[in-house]
Amino acid sequence: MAAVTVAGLRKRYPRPSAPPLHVLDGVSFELEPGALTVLMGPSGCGKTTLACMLAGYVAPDSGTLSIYGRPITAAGPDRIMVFQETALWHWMTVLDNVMFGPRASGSMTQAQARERALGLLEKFGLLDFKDRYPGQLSGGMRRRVELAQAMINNPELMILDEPFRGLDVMTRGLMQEYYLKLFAESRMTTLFITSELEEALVVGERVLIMDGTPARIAHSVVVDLPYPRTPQVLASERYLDVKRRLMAALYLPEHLTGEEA
Amino acid sequence: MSSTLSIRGVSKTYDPEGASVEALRECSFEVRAEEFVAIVGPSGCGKSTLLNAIAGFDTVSAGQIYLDGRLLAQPGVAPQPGPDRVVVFQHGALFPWKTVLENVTYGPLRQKALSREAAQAKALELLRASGGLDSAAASYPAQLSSGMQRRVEIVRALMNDPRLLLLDEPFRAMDGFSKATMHQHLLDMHRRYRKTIVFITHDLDEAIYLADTVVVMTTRPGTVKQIIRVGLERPRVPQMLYSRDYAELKRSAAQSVHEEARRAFERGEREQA
Amino acid sequence: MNPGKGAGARRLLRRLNWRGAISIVAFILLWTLLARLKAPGFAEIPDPAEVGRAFWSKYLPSAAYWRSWVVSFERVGYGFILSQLFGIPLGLLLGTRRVFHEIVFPVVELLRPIPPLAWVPLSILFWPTAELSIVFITFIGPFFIIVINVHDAVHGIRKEHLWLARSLGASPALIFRRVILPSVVPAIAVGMTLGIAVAWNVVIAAEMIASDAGLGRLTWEGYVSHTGTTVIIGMISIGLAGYLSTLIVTYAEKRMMPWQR
Repeated sequence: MAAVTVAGLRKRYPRPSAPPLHVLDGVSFELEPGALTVLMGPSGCGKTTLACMLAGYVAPDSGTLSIYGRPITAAGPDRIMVFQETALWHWMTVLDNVMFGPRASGSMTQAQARERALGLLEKFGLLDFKDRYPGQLSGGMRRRVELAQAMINNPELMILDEPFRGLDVMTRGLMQEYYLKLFAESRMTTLFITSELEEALVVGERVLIMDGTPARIAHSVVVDLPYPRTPQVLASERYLDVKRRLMAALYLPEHLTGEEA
Repeated sequence: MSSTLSIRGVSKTYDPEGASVEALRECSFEVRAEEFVAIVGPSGCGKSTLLNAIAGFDTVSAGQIYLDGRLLAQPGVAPQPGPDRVVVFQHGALFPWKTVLENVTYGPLRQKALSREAAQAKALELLRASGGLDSAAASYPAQLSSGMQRRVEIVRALMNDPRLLLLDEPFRAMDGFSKATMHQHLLDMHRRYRKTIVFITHDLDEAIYLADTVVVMTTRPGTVKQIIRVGLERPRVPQMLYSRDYAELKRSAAQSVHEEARRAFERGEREQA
Repeated sequence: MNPGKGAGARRLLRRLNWRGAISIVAFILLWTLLARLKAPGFAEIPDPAEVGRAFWSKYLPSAAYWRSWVVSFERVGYGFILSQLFGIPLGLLLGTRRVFHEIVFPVVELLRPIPPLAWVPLSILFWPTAELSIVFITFIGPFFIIVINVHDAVHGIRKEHLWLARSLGASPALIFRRVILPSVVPAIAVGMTLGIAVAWNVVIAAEMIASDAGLGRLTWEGYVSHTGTTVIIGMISIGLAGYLSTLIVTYAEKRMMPWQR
């Protein structure tokens, strides 16, 4: 069975003195268990709205969302989202941030949660910073703390909303490598949202492309490249072919001639 | 008209509160007229410092910079910015209280280089060439998208008829889609107006796609690690992004770039600890 | 000639604000000059030396003088602390409970624009003792400030901070304790700083009107008895008292926010 099933999502937002804004119109797709699916689309097309619906923060006007057969109606520890802007609680230390989930849901004792959190922080290379505050860390480090904070709960679905946006390209590349290592071990069903084509090709097994106003899933491109995606893989014929197909799906001809996107 | 640029052994050391920081060390490379050069390197590698020295915002501690054979910078020479070398920055530098047209004509009018009529005519022509932006001439920057704002800034730079156009990570904050559009736009402007361009970025893909020459810099202290001649034909089209030649070029530079990125990242983490 | 010593002296000189010191000396000299020459307006105003002598001989050893410090500090202390004790919970309730907000907020907005001093006559009429009426005034000023600051802060909490807590399975009580409360702490700090300043402003005036003790009263009596030195000593004392209170509040704020360094 599919891990996550989304069918016919529609959403519109009312606007003062203007007709309502139709954001989503019949969005449907499925995520297989343990798959890393990338979601791409132009700015403002509704990707974040869709992510918030999966996380249970926003309800659609119509349509259904379910995870392993259970309908999604509210937020819960089975679906955790990493937001576009870091949402670490800046008044709590790194360790407290990571321990929050298990303590809040009561799934572990204080001692167990602490041990698990320390283990994860060590794996993420952040053990030395466990008593620091998020404000004292760099952007890349904060993102890693957020990943630890999410993964300690073993969610059934990880939703990453442009998690590496704003980081410089080089840090981004290192974070992508880093994340893929984590993914290979945990194999958590993941929806990874990005607007960077190269990132989609480095990270994803499949790319869903959202487009239109209101938006729907316009294309699906399978990225059948082996992991790890080394520089050799990223220079192979097969890679170039996938890139071509993805660009063709993403950029309709008029996007490429300099018209305002 | 466009310039040749010669960077010879340029070094720059800062001395904030007595802790000397060597930002650049013996950078050397040459830029031909009408060439598009991209400088790639990790954060803090001194790319912006180099650009500031070229633009005349800052001095050099050692070495020389020549523009068209004329000495532009050397230790002891006071920095002189000028309309012949204009910079476009990462974050919008348009005056929010002026319209697009006012922003764009500001420079030439201030310097009395053009009459009001001539400045406006030139501005409208450049704006039209930038994807029909002449229709936005009376708008305020806040009413435009970031891509449109960036295009207006490029027009503003071009209005001064600079010999050298300097861009400091102008598209960094934009999402992938807008960036792709801006790349085509910049290439179009380069083709039409034939300026020498120095473009700073972290993004190797962006650098290869846009430039004739890519200069890879090491992490601090920044020096030239590798120079790559991009033999791709012009005009550049997006199809090239998945061509064999492109992949080869990227592969030849990727290792250098990756090494420096890793070094910078690790140093960053050490500095945090 | 020891070059090391010269360099050290120069560094010290750079660090001390010698320009500021010169301007203070100039201020005192100017005051002395204007007072001695009996410049227009300065007829009854003593020069700094007179003030200094009066302070040294009459006020420093006087128990009554130090009592006025205690009395004013007590009034500010009680009023301020009560305002925080009542104001912070009220602000939190207004921010978190919609129905409560709809009922209570309009009344708050109606009363808030009334300046604290305008409450003085009503306060005197209402409260049985002068002391209570003054403490009410030092209460009402900071009270509205803190209510508004806390209320606005609750509205300003990033929704991602709350969403994440919900996803991680936190109960509403836990969210309140570990997300909402810490989020409003900076606003409480601001409210406290503003509040203490207002409290000192009003206590002085309230004492002038309604009491026979305190620093404000002291200053007023100096005016009534044409004793310029008393007036000036009163003013300086009040300024010092306000400054000391601010130091205390700032210290408390630093302790409240360990993550801001």
